[in-house]
Amino acid sequence: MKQYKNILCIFGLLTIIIISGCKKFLQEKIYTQYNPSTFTSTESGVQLILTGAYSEETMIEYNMRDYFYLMNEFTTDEMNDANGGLYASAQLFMQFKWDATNSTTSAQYSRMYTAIRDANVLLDNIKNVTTLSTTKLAQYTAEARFIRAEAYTVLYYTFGATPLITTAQSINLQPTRASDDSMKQFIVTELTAAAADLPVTPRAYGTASKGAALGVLCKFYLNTKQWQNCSDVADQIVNLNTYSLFPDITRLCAVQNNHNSEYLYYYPCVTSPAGYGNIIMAHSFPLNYPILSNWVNFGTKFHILTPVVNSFSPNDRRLLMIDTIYKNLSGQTVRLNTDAQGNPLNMSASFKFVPDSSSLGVDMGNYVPMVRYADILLSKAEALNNLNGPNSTAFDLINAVRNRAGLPNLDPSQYTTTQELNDELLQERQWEFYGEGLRRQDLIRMGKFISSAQARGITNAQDYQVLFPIPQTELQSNPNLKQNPGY
Amino acid sequence: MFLKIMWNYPFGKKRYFKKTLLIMKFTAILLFAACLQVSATGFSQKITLSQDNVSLRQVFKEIGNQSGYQFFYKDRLIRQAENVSIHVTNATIEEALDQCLKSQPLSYSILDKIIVVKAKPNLPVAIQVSAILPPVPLNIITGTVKDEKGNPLAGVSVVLKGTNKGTSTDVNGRFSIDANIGEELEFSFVGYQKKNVIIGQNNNLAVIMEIEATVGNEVVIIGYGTQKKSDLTGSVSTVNSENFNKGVQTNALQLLTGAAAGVQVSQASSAPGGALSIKIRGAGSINSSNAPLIVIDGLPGADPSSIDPNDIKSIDVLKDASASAIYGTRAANGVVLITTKKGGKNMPSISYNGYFGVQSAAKLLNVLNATQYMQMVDTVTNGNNLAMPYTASQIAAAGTGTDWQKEIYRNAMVQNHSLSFSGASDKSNYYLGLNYFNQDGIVLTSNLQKYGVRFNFEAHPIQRLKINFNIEAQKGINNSILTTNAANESAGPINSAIEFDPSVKVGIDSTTGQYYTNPSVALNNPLALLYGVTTTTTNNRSYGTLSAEYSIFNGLTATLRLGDDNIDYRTNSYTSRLTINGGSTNGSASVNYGGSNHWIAEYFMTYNKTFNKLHHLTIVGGSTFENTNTKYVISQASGFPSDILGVNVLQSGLQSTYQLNSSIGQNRLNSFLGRLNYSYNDKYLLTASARADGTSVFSDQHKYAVFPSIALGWRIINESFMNKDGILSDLKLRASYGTIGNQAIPSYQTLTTFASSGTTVLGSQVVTGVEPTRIPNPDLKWETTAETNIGLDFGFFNQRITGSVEYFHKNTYDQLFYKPLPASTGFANQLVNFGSAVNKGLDFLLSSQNISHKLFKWRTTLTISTLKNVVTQLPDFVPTPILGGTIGTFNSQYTEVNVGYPMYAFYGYKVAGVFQQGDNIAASAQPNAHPGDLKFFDRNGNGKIDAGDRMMLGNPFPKYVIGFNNNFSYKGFNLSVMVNAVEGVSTLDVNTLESLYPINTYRNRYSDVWLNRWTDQNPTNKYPSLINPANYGGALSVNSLDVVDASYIRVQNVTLSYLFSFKNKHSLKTLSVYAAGDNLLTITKFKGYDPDANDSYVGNSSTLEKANYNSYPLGRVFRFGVSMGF
Repeated sequence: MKQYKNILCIFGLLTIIIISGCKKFLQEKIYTQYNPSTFTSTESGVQLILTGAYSEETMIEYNMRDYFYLMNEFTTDEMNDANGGLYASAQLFMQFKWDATNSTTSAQYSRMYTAIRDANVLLDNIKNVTTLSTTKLAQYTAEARFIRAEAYTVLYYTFGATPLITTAQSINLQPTRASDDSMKQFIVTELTAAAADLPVTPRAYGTASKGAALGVLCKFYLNTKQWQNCSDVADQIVNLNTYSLFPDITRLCAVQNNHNSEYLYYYPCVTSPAGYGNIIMAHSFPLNYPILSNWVNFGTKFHILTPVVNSFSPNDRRLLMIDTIYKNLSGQTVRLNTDAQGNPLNMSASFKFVPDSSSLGVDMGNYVPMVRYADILLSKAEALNNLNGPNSTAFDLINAVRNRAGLPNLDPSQYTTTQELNDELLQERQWEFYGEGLRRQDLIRMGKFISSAQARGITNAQDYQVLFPIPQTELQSNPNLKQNPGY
Repeated sequence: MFLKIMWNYPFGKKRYFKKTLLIMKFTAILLFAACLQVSATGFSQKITLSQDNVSLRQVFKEIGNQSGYQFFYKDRLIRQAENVSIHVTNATIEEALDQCLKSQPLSYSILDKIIVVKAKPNLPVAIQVSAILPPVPLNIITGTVKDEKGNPLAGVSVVLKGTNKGTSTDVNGRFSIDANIGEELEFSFVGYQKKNVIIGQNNNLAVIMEIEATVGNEVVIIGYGTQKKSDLTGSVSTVNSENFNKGVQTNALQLLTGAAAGVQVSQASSAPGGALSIKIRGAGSINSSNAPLIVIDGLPGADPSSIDPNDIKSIDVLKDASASAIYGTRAANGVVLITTKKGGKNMPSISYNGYFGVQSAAKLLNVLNATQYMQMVDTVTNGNNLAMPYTASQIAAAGTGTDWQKEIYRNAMVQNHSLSFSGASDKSNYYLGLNYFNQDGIVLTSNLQKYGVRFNFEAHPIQRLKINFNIEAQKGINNSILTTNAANESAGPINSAIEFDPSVKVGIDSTTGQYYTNPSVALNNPLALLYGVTTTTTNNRSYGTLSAEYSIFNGLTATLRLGDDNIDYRTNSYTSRLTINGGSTNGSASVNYGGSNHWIAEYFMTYNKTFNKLHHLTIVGGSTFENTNTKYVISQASGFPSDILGVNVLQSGLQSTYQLNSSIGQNRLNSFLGRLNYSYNDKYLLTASARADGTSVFSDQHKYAVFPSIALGWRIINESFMNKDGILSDLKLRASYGTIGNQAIPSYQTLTTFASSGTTVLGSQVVTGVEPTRIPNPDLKWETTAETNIGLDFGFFNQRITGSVEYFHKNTYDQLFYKPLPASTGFANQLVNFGSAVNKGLDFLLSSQNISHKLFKWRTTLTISTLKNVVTQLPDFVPTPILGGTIGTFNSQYTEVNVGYPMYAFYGYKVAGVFQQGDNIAASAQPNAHPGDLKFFDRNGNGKIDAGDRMMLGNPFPKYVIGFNNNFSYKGFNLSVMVNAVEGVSTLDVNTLESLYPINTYRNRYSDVWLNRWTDQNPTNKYPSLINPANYGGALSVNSLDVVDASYIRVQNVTLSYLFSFKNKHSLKTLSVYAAGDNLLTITKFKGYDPDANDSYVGNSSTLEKANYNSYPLGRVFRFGVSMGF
């Protein structure tokens, strides 16, 4: 038995050795993520957090398609979608059938708050950075405030006033919606402060500049009908002496002119198989269109409606960017706008984003304009018209945009009331900005969003649909949140 | 000592090689010399020797050289022996040995050509006395031992009862032993009943041994030990190799199809090496993995596709909590224990199994031919007031056009060769398996090749120590077709073969260098996808366990087991200019390299003791440590100067297109386990087990959790009140309860971290930032399943009919849910524990020897499992029903998770019919509809068709899974027929959906949907007009027309074999040839390729959602095979 005892001792000892040290064994090691303090203390860390924030706020590739087209074009009298798999989602917007479970609008809500979170993380921590000069500190702070404010403008246009979250340090799981006034006030304050500290020339293409902050602010004043403020900010922009109308409107959105004098704020795109480009042309090429071998033509089709095409003056250079007839790969001539009898086909294609011959695949390099100088000019004209009625400054501003497109000046005698000139401005804006995702906001501002839908035969379009619903998941996870009326 | 004797063994004798089969040479080359204990049947049995005063060792060496026998002895013993003189001519071994040992304190015994020399036992006085008496002359008794079928049995132990004398039978079943008339010989062999023969006048015995059919001596592997089947209290299904599902198997789990009650094996994809789904008693977890734990020879987490089915001895499935709790947190979905073969106790043997087969698509889909297609396109475009693309004369000239399915499918070859060598001595045994498998896919260009080698070695170097070493190395090369649920230009070849324009001709357009195409379809030509998209995955895997088992004293053993599993893979993919995507990117390539390492160190002790012959106790206790590391790197590039070099030179692509991803991860587990088995008088059985599991992925306060279980059994048959002469031969009642966990939790969920995330374009280039990752939940803990199992085992007519019926109830609670956080926090969700789901049902097994005639035998096995899966509690923080499921690019939210319904039940609109001419459409719930549009059921009765009208349309879990296997044998012929049935299961048939709602007009579709559509002349209520599907499509497209019944009955396998019998002299011991057919017949209402397939598996191997979309066609296989034993 003695030898058994020895062996037992050895095995016992082995057991003890194996059992000890378990806690250390089970400690979770971090291999692919970072300790937060790595980034909240250095300039490069600050820039990385800002990059994260920009990535959530900027809308390119499919995010651009969903926000600018599904939500802001297909809900209007300007464009529609047909065929392909996208049609199932697109038709909900075309026919005003979206509800609180809609994944496209819900994704937009989440994305904007993710951008806000990232900006808040930076603003919470940037005070602790000791290695930066005051100027740089102010500039990075201003960029974060710009991103956060711009995200709030998108939320405001889409959902109305939503919870105002201004810090990431204490997480509020049940915030209430901000009042309309405090939301507007916050956006104005933040954009104004950001504009003060931002440089005229951005740190890199796509980051915030003084013009970007002022441009977003000008548009916000316009859309919230703060006419005098809108006009004043437009003047500030003009006085920067940085921006001008690009001479050739037909080449403005070509990839060669990405860095032009007309874009105040834009989302940069690159030709890349990784998915950071502009994908509108793959949706726009007509069926069986003779594309280059390095392009892609999707099954789904984005169309400019026939009444829009027909409203152009034949001399309007902007009409050149719309394809109404083409010869397909089989050599047949295909009409897109009207058939041989003149009946509307509603199938014209916008080539505003001039196809990028160097693209590889779906993603083209055409930047996505967010605020351009023509918009500032027309916004000021609209503000002045609403302040003072038709006046010569307003006509000059409109004519500048018209002349660039090869159109003559407006005849002032045709527009005697504010309403008449507003109607003309709505038309001018469509000719100028079709396919840029501005139509829904323009119609809402002019009070025609719902009525024009009903006029198109969409009987279930209701007044409350000027706002999209707060996502259902959001309401369910936060009892303090109230849905927009009507939903 | 051990090795020393080995080297005494005479390898060099030429005679030996001459007389032995050529193939034996290979053995010698392939095996380690240390394990080689080949017998020497070819040696002379007669010894001629004349030596004086030489050492005993030298005499033994000489006798060994002459006879080929091996000597085993202790050095010390022989050193002490005196020198001997020996003079024999043509003597037997025994005579020679008797002479040289006569004056020595040594005795010998001969077993199996091995001579063991030992010290003479101190004989009891009585025998010493009798030894003085004149010896009774000994008889040499010879004989042959055969089994019931008349096959010789090698390695049967033959012992003269009451003595140490014994021998064993040789390869031909022959033996010889010295014995006297009236003495008794005892024959024993594993798996056979012991047989005693009293020696009479006949010196040449013919002994037939019968297979042991007595209750419960079968041993079942239960994890960290074995148990007699009769002592089982939990639910364990054991499938031995003879009951395996036969067929072209690339994954060990396929062997279980239809063979184990409660186990549903589905072939998600029939592509070579395609995905497999196994569900044991349904699925308990809503959001985590529902895959069982696979354990190969004690190594958990092993890959069942990396083993040759021929190397598998048995598969044990631990189904209930009591059986599986010993595996703790990974056991919630059951445990599959795979045991590989060992060297038998017989002579060295070589066996070869091989087959050749031809596979063809079991079914082709009926789609429109060219004429019908052109008419369809014209009808739809005309119906939408657009110009018709085809003229009447074009249509008239079209004919049937191209059948794209026939263009991409082929009669494909499959072959498998398995060669094994095994052998044993009393101190060790080995098994070496070599495997080559080569399967061409039914779809052109697809192919799978596997090369495997397995080596199992077991040794008892010293008496109390047993060492086991199992190792497998496998290489797999898989050329796969593009398998994707993407649409349009990104769709795969099978989608294209179904939906491509049949009027397009086969071949390459000489002007473009591309396959002919119709750009209006927005699909690649199917052949362009087959030849233009290449994906090759090379997999190298090696795994094994090394264990040492030491018997500390009688009944107590300690086991140390080390296991390691290494995987390395490389996937090369190239998309060439033959395709739209490859053309637009000038060729795109990706190389994905990765792998993982898993190691385990376990230490446990087992105590086994019987008290007073009534109390039997087994206790196991131990601890384990496991570590898993994973890694990968993906590099991609496009814009290549040419397609020629493919993935070989990524750097020749455009630099701006480079993409890199890499990752590394670690997961650790530390556990303590224990089990107690107690039985009283073979009547009352108790099993209690517990496992404490700790993991790295939880916070410190929740690192460990304990999973206990208890089970009771009552062997009623052994009660005195049972009449054992009656019909009943076995009756046992058992019940168990226990909890088990589900570990599938992603890393870092309890930590606050930043991750590289947020990629966008700044400064004209793509840049990536950092973002906070989550709001951590330190309270996160295991998802837990509590399971009750009640079972009754029975046997009738002396076990000719046996079976069991079991009821189970599994409640899976503390489910892991991503609790949506208000998006205003900037975070989408947080992983929390909430909610529960229940699986309950019956497992029924019946096995019967219907006819057991000497010549004709008929055996039947029937398994039936029923299942009811229901969600019982959901968190209030998620909208219910929880909608999910994405199949294809554009079909989502087709499943619901809701209280009172099965998990991932099909959810959509119910079709009530088709609007007819003259219906009062304006007053209906779809006032804008046209005649010919689908009419939906207004479930909530609110007068319009809206989201509230959606309802459950079907169940993704079958109500019944049935396996019905019959085996007939007549003389050498054997016929086995395996039939499987799955009842009460639905699927979303996306190919039907796309026939109703094509992505565009130019897509081909199921011909019956188009040809039987509603028209003015055909006012059917089944299919709509199909002219403007948008009117009744969009969100309405998931409806009761495309959620269809996927029940089926399938003749899975029919095998007819013939076993040749040989006269004894042959070195070929057994030869059997067979012809087999797999998937011969499927009876189903389902229209697609295979109701059992699941295409929601693409990219997610554990999803519960079921959908069929462009499935890889099921193969009907005819195989011819041979198995040989030497």
